[in-house]
Amino acid sequence: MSTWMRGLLCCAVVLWMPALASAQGARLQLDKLARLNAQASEVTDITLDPAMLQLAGNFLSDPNGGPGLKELLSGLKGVYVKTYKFDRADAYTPADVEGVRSQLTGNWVRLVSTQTKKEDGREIVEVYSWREGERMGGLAILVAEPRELTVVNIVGPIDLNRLAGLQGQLGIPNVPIK
Amino acid sequence: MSLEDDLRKALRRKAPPEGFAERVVARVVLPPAAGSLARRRQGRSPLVRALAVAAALVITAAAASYYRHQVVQLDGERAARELRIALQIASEKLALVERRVNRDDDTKASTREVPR
Repeated sequence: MSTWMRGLLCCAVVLWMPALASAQGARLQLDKLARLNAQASEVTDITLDPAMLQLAGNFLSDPNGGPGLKELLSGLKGVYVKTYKFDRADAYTPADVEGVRSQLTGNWVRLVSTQTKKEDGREIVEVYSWREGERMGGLAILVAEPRELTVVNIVGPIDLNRLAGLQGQLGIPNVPIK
Repeated sequence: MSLEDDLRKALRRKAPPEGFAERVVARVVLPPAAGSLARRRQGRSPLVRALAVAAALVITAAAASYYRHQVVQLDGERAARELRIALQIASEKLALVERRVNRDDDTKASTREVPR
């Protein structure tokens, strides 16, 4: 390969890098949490890539009979949820939480962060938004309770208010949060 | 007895049993019994055979298509169920965030960051 061809290839790679990073950027790597599977009493692990989301969209009806839910989901590139419930309070370590938090930099903007002291430990609740210029290109919710660890990662534009409004409307009983 | 005598006895011309010739003729002249499968197959026309093959192909293709449809249907229903659960968890956690933020607004006890 000649020198100018190599230079051209390098330029192309450098120019494409931000675009590639942006495409992958809002997706969190949650594989390291898999070690908690053995310790948790209840695990919810949902991975929906673009193909599965499109397939799911064909079988999803809006709870109110309108196009709202499908509109909310249009443009999404992935939905990843991991929830671990434990019988005891110290089942996961701060390093597990930090492993997720450390990825929430760069284009990720923290919207909310609260810490609450509870009887059996500390509760951390954080919400991040992935910014692509002026628009929101993803969402991350990290909730670390003494006996429960939840990470929600939505890749693609999502309306937070409409997402919050879905509670108890999807045919799944609304579980009261303490 | 010698071998020669044995051979001679074995190869001696014998008269057929009574009615042997009539039985052979009757078997040759009469039509075949309700039938050997091979003969019946030989009797079929090429058109019938082609139609049978075409019907078998159509049935196989229809079964494969139905199976594929069923697989897609099951995958789609599973994906929709998982998506509902994922959205439910996300909305529950957002509600928790809202409660914590509202409580913090009241007590000013925790940290809250404003979107940049």
